[in-house]
Amino acid sequence: MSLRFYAALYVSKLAAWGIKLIAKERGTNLPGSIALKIDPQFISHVKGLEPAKTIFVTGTNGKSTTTNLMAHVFKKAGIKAAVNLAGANLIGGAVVTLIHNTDLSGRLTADVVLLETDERFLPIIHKQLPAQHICVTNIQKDQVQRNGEPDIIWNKLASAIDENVTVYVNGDEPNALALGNKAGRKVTYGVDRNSSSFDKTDDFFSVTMPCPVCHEPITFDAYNIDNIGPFHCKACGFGAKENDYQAKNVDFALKTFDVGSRQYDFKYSTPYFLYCYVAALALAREFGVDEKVISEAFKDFVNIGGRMEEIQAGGKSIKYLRMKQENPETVQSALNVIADDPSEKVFMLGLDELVDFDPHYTNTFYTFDCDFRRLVKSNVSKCICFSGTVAYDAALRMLYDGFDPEKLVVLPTNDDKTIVEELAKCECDNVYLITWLHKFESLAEYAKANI
Amino acid sequence: MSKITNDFSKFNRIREQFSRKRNSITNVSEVDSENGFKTLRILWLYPDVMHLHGGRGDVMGILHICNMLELPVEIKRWDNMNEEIPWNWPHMIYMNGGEIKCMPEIVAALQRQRKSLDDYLARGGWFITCASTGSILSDRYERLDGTSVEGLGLLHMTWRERKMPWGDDIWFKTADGQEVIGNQIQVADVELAEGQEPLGTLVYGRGNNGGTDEGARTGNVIFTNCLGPMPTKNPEFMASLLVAAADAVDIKHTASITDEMIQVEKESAEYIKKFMKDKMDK
Repeated sequence: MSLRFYAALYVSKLAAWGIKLIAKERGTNLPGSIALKIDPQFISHVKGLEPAKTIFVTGTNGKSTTTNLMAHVFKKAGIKAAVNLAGANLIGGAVVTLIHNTDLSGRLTADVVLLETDERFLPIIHKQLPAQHICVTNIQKDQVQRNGEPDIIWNKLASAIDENVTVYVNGDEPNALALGNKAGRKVTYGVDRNSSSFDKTDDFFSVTMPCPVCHEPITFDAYNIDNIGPFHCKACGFGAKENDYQAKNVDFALKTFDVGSRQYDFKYSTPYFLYCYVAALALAREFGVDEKVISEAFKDFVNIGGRMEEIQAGGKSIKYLRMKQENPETVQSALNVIADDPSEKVFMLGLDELVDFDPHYTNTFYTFDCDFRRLVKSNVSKCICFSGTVAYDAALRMLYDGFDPEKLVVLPTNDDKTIVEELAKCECDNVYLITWLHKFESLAEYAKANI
Repeated sequence: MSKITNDFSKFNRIREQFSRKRNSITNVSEVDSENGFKTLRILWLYPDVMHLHGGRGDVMGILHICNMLELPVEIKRWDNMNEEIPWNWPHMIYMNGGEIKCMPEIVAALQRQRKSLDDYLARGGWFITCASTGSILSDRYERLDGTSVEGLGLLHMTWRERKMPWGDDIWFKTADGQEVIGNQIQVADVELAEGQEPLGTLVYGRGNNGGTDEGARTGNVIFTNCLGPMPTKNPEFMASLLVAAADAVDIKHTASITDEMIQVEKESAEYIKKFMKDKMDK
């Protein structure tokens, strides 16, 4: 073990302690960056790391929730997990997690390592810590400015999967399932068609996706989430014939589902969360956690940083649904939640130019991958499209899916005052908002103070 | 803001009538036509495989534009790569953006029907592609792993896969002075061979490879990097292509697109051009 490692360990531990004292919010990545600067191979030098007891959870959507669920199950089972719950899922975050879970000799103090891992960084982290358990929730369209297309991410993940790896893959998502063919062992999970399932046969313009094996069209027998559901390829037969862990008898009202002979509760009873529950269940069972412990853990699980928040402002209930940048599946899931509410509502859509990477740009084309028609028909009395640059593009998207132009307000601004004043004019108190997190936070603050 | 003057009522009435269970959609019940039973026939090629970047919106845009033009159109989906394309049917073939991994199969499917494809083009058929799908029309696509795929060679260009995708806005002018705006997601740089005409000249953006060229065009065979969807954001440009295709087969449109019909698109373009101008100023 090199002096470089110990220097990295002690300096970063000290940095983590110092940051905790003075600026807690900065603690997720900085100590990791410091450690890697001193010892770029820091992870591989940690003592006691066992690939057979290391789990990476990755995928486009659902990796944070699945990781949080798994961490909670392990805790209930008395298994000490080193886990990056704060969502720092790049290599720096992985290092910080290990810094917090090693003693002064650099030895791991946890029973297992559980890391939510960014898809692009998984092969990099895997080189230093060759986890033998990799859960892939799905590989979908996301952040196209840096990811291009799903196949680029698929190839990155595939580079880390070999015969030593057990993959836990969503058997209802073609790209994730196809990764299983590269692994030594494949554990699949899925969800039966249920009351929230839908098909797209009513729309001439609907499309599916290419089979990851033969590139002919995939046929979805039902969609449980957009582009996820029981499927098969008519050309080559690819598809999960039977998943190892299958959620059946799904009841969103009672918030229960069955796997095998046991019933489980899921208080976050949306199709999106259901897949996270079943993924966590599959992982936990394969790690030997008793079904009863899992069931108890699911009952009192509290998610961190959920996708839906509700605030009260001026007598209005504003329900915020978080979307991810350039990620049509998260937009579609949010639209479906709103459409499920039959009562009169105001819908606020705040797309904006994308500023996460250079150059900033005005992509709204991913909204054409989504279907707004069910939302449009769900008793929306007013739609407010706001944005400094792309408000009219959002409005155009609504018009294409049949929204009444008389009920459409376009605000080509990001000014909180203007947006909240427009909202205050609405008589309807039931408000849904889709926008980026930072915009929600500034709008919520202004709305609470001014309406 | 002023009252929205766009009218999508025809589009939505038509959409309500045509489900996925049918493989074609038409506006003949909604347009004032002088054409009898004649329609502009557009083949939407392999849409289930070409699933990226809101590409289905391209064809939604085409239908809406034809409605505005009072141009009778029939759009047929063709999803199966193993079935012979009905080459005598379309006046225009349209392919939106798809994944590079699918291109070898698509090229192979079209090469199996090469004589029919060449005859179709010789009759004046149109072939329009957006984004990475344009690679099938190229001479060659070179992958980062050193392999390469021969394209159809209909546009003389070479595609070279980039180490990192490039995403940005795009703004270009065509040879006849039309302005087109949108976005591009570049997984490959495109080099035009000597003598190959671009589709347009860049005002802003990366275009083919960071030079001044955007896309490529030889007659009725067109490739553009532009996403948006391109037709929905640029109804006047797309209308010019549709009208040219219709005129060539003596199908008349009885209306012109007015500013009132595309008020939202016009407003959008102003904000997005300003955004690009600000980037240029920086």
